[in-house]
Amino acid sequence: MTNRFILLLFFLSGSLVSSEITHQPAGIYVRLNQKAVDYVADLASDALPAILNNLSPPDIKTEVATISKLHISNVAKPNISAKFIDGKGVAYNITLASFRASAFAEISVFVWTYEGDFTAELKELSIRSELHFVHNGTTTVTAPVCNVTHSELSLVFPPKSSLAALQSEIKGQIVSAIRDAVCSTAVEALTFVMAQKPISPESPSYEKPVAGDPNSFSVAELGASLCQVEKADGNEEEVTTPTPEDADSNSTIEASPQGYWGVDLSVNHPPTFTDEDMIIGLDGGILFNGWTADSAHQPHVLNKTRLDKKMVGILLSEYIPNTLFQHIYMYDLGNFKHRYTPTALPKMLQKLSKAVCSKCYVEVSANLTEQPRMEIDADLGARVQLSGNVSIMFHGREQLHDVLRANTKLHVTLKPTVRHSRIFGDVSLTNVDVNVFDLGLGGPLAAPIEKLFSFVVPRVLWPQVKKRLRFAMNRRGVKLPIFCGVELEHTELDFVDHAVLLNTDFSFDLPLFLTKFKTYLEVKSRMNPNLPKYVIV
Amino acid sequence: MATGVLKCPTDPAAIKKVHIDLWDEDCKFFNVDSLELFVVALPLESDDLMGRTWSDTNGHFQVTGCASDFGPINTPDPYIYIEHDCPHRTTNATEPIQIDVIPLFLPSIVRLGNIYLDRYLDDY
Repeated sequence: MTNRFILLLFFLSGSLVSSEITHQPAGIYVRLNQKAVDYVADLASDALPAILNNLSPPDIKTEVATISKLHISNVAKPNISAKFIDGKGVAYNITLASFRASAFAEISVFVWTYEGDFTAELKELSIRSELHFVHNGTTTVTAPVCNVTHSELSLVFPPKSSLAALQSEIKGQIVSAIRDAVCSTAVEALTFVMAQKPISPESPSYEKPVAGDPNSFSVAELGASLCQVEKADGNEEEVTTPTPEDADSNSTIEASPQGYWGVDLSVNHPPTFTDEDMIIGLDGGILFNGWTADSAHQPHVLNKTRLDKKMVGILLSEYIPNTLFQHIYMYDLGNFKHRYTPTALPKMLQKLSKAVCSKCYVEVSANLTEQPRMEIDADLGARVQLSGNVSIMFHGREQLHDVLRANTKLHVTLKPTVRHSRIFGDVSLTNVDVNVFDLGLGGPLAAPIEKLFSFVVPRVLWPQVKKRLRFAMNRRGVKLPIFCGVELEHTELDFVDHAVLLNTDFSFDLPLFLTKFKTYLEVKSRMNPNLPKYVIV
Repeated sequence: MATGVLKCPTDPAAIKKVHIDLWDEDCKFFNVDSLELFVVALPLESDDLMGRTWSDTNGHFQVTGCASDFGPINTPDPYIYIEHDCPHRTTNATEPIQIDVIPLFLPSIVRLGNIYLDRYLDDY
């Protein structure tokens, strides 16, 4: 009996392990619980009437009809609810008490054309649907339950309008459009998102992203405006392109290769549902010029059970920063040059130095000699190993002199914690090794200077660097500010092997979002007639 | 400038007219274990009061101030100090609360969000 029980346990544990292995490992796992869904549903319920009322969408053109001068009004606050379904997906209900849209329509039927104003009023629209996520190699989304009903749809036409003859057809088209939007379009969009994979630049189907129309609606731009730092004078901080430094500046940045960055949003771990929560895993790897970072490895088994308790749980593996490090190392993006000219000296010495040698300068440069690597440990925190060459050169009146060349290896440990939405932590320089292998000042001084560097860096320089990094090591902790309208509450930050865990509740500043959204749309719609705009009634 | 909202679930009336100070930390810290020396102030220097305010009837506050520290790349290290009468959720204590603030300077505003006066860092 005991042997059978042991065999059963072995079989079950094997099944669990195999079910883990069938899914590709992901760099980032996100868990949402029912409380988060209820909160977002309430937000959506408040936001919809604020967004839709007095909105004038752009014209709609089909083969047989043109709908123009659209105006939406009388949108009541809907009741929105959603509930996870164990092993399947999510069920949602939307009940909208009233919705009114007025427009001008031109409809061509055979050789006749019907045109005129009309107003459509919908009452008690009810949508009840279930979205099921099925994984069989790829993830497909289906809507086996999709009921769209309404108690009343009335169309009002001006007297003697020719459109009145097409009343039933117009009603049918409206109901059909709503049903298609809910039951088909949403499903197709979700299936498309689930199937997204980055395409290698070598592939013939690869398309390099091009700069979009500056007047088009951009979610990234809207997000950036939402995340702008608020200013006391009411003006927002503008995002400006860094201007080139002037000729006398002492800071020179080495030109980096042209490129663009991206994030791999492949759904490696399809969404899995219980009655209480949903977990989804994304690759999360950083892309540079469309290339993935092949040498960065994803840990195969991450402890997702720790994503619990709060509205949102995020498990971020060391794979993600290591993909960034690979690109930085492979494409020489970590090279640094800093030039000190006489203008960098204190004013008292500037005139003297310019008189002695106005064109002299000291140049400090550094480059990575090994790919940086991050390791996350449950007890020690996040550790990064950096290796690089540092050189100092002096350019005199006529020639360039090597002052110093050194090879350095640094091991930095970082373990922040969060309690009561305050971040604590420490940054430690757990190891430093400096080897001076070429010294222009004279051979016998190399050894003492090497020892001096090995003492000065961790004992004096590093504490100053640590202070500038602003991690609070004292008793108070730094309060996490509201960022992008999101306030994290009751946040917990923990470390597990190979990953960082963040469990948190959150709240969202909806009035701020609505203000930003309407302002952004107003600006864009002035330049782009294909965007909706708000009509002041 | 830092803004925030005080919360006191144990006594909602305790969020009104709460005294809030904005300080610049100046301290000398010597870590014996790692032999790291933080020299961030002159000898005998104490923290500098940057600004003072009181919360309104809804617990909202906005505090701003000025400070300067000696030496290059030595910007102020702000923290807020809150004296209040909000009872702790288990012990009924009313200890002052201190919170470090990310050093964003005017015209930028740091929005701290909700600050709960009825719970302390040592709670859990």
